[in-house]
Amino acid sequence: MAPADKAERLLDLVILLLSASRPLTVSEIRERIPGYGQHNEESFHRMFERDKAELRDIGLPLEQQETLAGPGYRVRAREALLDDPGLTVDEQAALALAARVWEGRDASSGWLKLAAISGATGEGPEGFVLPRVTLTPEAATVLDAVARRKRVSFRYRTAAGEVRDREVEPYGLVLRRGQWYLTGRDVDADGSRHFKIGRVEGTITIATGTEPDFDPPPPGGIDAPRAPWEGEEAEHARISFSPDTAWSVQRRAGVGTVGERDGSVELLVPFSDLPSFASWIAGFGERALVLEPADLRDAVIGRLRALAGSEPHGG
Amino acid sequence: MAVEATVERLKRIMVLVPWVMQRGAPTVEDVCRQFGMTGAELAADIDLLMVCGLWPFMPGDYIEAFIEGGRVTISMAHALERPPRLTRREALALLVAGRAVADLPGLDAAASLRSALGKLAAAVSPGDAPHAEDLADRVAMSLGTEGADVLAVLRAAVAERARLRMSYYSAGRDELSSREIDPLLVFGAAGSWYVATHDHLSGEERLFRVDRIKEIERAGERFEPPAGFDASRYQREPLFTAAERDIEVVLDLAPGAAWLAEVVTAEAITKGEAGATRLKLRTPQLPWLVRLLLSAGPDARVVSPPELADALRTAAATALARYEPV
Repeated sequence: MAPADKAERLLDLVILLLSASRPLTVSEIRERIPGYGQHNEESFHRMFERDKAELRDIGLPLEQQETLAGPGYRVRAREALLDDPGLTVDEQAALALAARVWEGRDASSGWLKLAAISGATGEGPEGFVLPRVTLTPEAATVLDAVARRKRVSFRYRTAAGEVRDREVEPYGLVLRRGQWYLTGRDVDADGSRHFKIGRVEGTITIATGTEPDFDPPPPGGIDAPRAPWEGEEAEHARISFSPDTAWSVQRRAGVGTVGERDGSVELLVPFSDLPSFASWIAGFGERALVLEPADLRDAVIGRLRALAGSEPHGG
Repeated sequence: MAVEATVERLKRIMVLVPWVMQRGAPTVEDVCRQFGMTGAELAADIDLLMVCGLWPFMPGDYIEAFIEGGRVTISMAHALERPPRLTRREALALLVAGRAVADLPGLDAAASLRSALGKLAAAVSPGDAPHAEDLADRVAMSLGTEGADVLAVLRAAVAERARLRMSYYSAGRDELSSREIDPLLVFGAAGSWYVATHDHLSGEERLFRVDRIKEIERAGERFEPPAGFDASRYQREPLFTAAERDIEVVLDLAPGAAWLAEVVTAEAITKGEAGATRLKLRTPQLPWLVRLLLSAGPDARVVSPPELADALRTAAATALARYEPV
């Protein structure tokens, strides 16, 4: 059967079921859809079963009710079709702007439905373009697991290069600086962790079965992974920065000035993970001088010494 | 294949019909752009609609649909006058994207957006609305940037064509510079915000990263955008491409420095010596790499060029001298 005939039959069926003021029996439906007419009993029933499934795929809630003459079907327009949600012109424009952020069909088709009932145009402001965010296939898998409360397993490479298999109860999905992170409970470590989805090696597998595997905590805790200067039990480092660098540290770490001395700016910067913080500070080179604590100072000196002494050229 | 295509086609038609009816007689071009379809696909949909209708299929029971003079008209489609409700996924996408946009500081549309999102629940199937809300609460999408106040200044200046004076940190050269710019377009891409400008220091069209602007203020003059400026180019092409004259750099990364491969655009990644990852890239400047390599420490080794290895050693020695004066 050619697809055109099938599309015609399905669209006729949609119109018939949406227009029905009472459930229609199978034989009434067969009689009223020209596309069913030329088929024998058996092939009609096969076809009708498939068509019912496809109505559901289209997103139409098919209502089934027993009638005196067997099962009857209809789609209630009140439930299936959109009522004008009464968006103002400003609300329409704002939503059009936001819809363009989400790459892929879901946001644009959702927006088009709203535009179809409101007549909105959705033209954005000139000179300002929001970023486009793509839900990668891996992130979509995680989102599916979050929705179904299923555990996921995957092979993960940490920033330090350690590769290990993980089993995680996914609580949420975070996008920061254009990167997706999974946040959840690492089952083996029994602790809350962030995983950068780009560091997953291979595929992410969702646990089998339909029953939820866990109860997630309330969604308030879905947060971005920590930067080197963030942490629950933060120590504070006193660091002297050159003035051409201090501003960027202040902006990123959100800290104020402690004092100024000899043209340098002293900042008190919180940190929790010493190695990653030492690495971040070493990156500033001569523009940062750790004053305290001593262990951080030693860690930075150690890194610099290793680099300053390696492979001298021309002796 | 044909099965899925038919379902997708019908989903589109059920939105397209009310979209067209709501607007009277939109142009073929407009419909095709909004629905991401070709003229031939639209013509096929119109042909399909013309033969569909409601039993008993008397003359008045068929949908009337035609294209005439480049415009689309649909009528007599009573059952299809409204689109289907939003699916869970559609509501989720709009909620997540909408909240992220509303959180951008200094956006005029934020209040309208929040109230629009509040009305979305009514547009979803009754059973799906709480589910979509709950899942949206579990997706935290941040589009922001450090220096959000700078972003607000830039956006206003683009709209008003106001020339700006700024102090900018060039990561490539690892230095601050003062320059005057005519801001032409502010856009977000790949996790950062950028401003495309006519840069008076170089006399060229230049791109600057918003989070690297240290200070910015209005210069007190208006400007006319240059005639050849093409804003759409930044949506089409990669932002940065390696040029022939760029320096070729080869690094060997031990596992502890594997993260470096995520923050640079590599030309090639292969196996290096002793289990290391070998990274090849091209760059017009070395100072930014020196900073990254200072961060990476001994886990990253410079294979070539020698001047990068020298620059790194000198930078480390200079920094060390502040701790251990000779």
